[in-house]
Amino acid sequence: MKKQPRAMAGRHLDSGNIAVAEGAIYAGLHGYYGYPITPSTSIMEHIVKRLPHLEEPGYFLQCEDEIASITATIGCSWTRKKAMTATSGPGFSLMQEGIGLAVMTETPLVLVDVMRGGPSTGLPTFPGQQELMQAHFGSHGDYIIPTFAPWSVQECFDLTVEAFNAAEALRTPVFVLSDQVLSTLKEKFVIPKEGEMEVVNRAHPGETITWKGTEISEDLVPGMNCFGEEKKAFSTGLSHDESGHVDLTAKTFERLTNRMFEKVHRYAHLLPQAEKYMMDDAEIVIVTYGSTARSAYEAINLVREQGLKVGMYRLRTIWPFPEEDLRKSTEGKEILVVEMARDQLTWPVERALLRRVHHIAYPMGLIPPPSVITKKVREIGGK
Amino acid sequence: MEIDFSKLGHNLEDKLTSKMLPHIWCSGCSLGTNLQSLVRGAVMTGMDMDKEMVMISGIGCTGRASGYVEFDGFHTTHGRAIPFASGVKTGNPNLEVIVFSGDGDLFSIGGNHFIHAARRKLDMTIICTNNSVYGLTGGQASPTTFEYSTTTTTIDHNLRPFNLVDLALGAGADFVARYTSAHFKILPRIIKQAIETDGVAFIDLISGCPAIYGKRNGYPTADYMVKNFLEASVEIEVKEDGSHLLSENTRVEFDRTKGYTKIPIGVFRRQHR
Repeated sequence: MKKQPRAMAGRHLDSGNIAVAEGAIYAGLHGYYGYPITPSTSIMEHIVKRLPHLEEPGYFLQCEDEIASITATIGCSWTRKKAMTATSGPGFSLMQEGIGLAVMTETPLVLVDVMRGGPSTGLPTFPGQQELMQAHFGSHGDYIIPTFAPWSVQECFDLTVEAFNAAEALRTPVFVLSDQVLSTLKEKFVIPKEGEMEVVNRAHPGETITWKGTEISEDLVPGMNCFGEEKKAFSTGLSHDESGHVDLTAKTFERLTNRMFEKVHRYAHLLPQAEKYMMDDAEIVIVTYGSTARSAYEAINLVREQGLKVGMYRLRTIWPFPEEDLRKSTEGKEILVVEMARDQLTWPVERALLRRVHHIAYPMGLIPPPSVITKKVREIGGK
Repeated sequence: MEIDFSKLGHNLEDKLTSKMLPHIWCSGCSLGTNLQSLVRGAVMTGMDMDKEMVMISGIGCTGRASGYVEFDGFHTTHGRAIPFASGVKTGNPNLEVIVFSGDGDLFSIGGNHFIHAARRKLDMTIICTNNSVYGLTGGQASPTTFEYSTTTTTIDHNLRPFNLVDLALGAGADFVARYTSAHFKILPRIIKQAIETDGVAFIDLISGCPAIYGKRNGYPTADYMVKNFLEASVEIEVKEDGSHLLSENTRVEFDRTKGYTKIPIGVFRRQHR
């Protein structure tokens, strides 16, 4: 078969899942490990057509389950190769064990979770946004994983590239939370030429790298010593010192876990920032993300025609939650949270604003139609 | 007599991570000799342990082994050494991947990964320290605990144990051997052959846990255990009709009052692809 280029530069008409796969390949993906699960499967099916046929071929492995997928992803990353996996609801639950291991061993990897309705097998072919809290608290122990949420096919591409960069720069797993709507929705997206978008590679020990023009401190993000390189490379899921060896003392554990939090928070300003739509004069602000924001966007345009001053704060990075930015940009405004979940996005929003907010909970496997949002906005605005 | 520990050396010292020693294992445990056999076997291959080999372990007493040697290594979560190894091997096929773990880790929580690895035939060596017990958690029954033996979770009797050789043969491993930890003279050579096998090589390494399992089940001390291993071991006779590979001929037999009564040992399959 003819060798394929990494960057399929140009304009495409395709689905969010294809854009995710192309974004990963653009960012330098080498190893993909996955298990079939709706609605994430088409990422894997596209990868298998591309990854082994690149000029520098990568490797695709269909694993026996999601636990194996995430663990093999970690293994691949320790050979200094970029690795990813993708899954949905039940698979995300199975992966929580490996996610903890990736955090503890500071392994760069990207996990794309294409959200569907739950709990359990739930609604395999319908969208949901019920894995927001799981992305934060799913595995046991304290940790923070940068979590991005695209709302369009273009952003499925862009944020996957960003996810790889953040993972490499900060030595951490990074989540991309897509959903069933985006997974099958087809629209135009553009893949830039190779070199047009920044692609970051993790530091070797003693090396300093820059990401978005910012130097990454080696004290916070130590260079990674990988398998087959000069020094002995070792790590463990147990508490460990800088060399990776087991050390269960309180001092070492505190130093390790503090640094893992600090590195994400210190560079949070480099993660994708929230998009603010018609916020300047807005009296009511809709806070939302993902495909739900598409409906909110339509609703805002409808009610604006009727003279209601409504804007949107669309989250692109969900974790760590942009508390300060949200607080500053919504001072004195009414807040309406819209989500395809019973009560998840409201938690970080209310915690950030220290007040109760209006809420549209829409957890039945459909995106809330604009009419539902316009009705609620009119109620709040008294029209 | 005063012993000056700083002057004591080991002829494999440069292969061991001395800052991690002493190890956590009990006296009488097989793991010391097993680890030594592994390191000797790795040295015999002539490969550079630090640059060409990766040793991956799971959770349990055996899981700690990867921290004690100068291989590149990783101590994964419970049962996941094999999937991690698959990731390493596909990430960098030039690396020689060795999975070193116990029977509970590899065949209870990690059992599914083992059969799929054997089917998939990614090049790796899997060495199972099979002591028939969960030692680190205090002596619960494992998937290779024998019938009618006593553990903290099987007071009366246990269900039938796995015959790991039979399981590996059935799942399609390319190299299948069984020895005991008392065969430390031949083991390095067998481990070398396993590492050099192009495909999945599996060694069922019958081992003892006198401190927790043996004292309740017929081998109360380490020296009794070693004698017991050597006396009970029977080298397999290769039959042309392949009957030496039948499950009943590869099964390990055990008596709660005497310890092991029959351990068929040898190389059961050696396959070149």
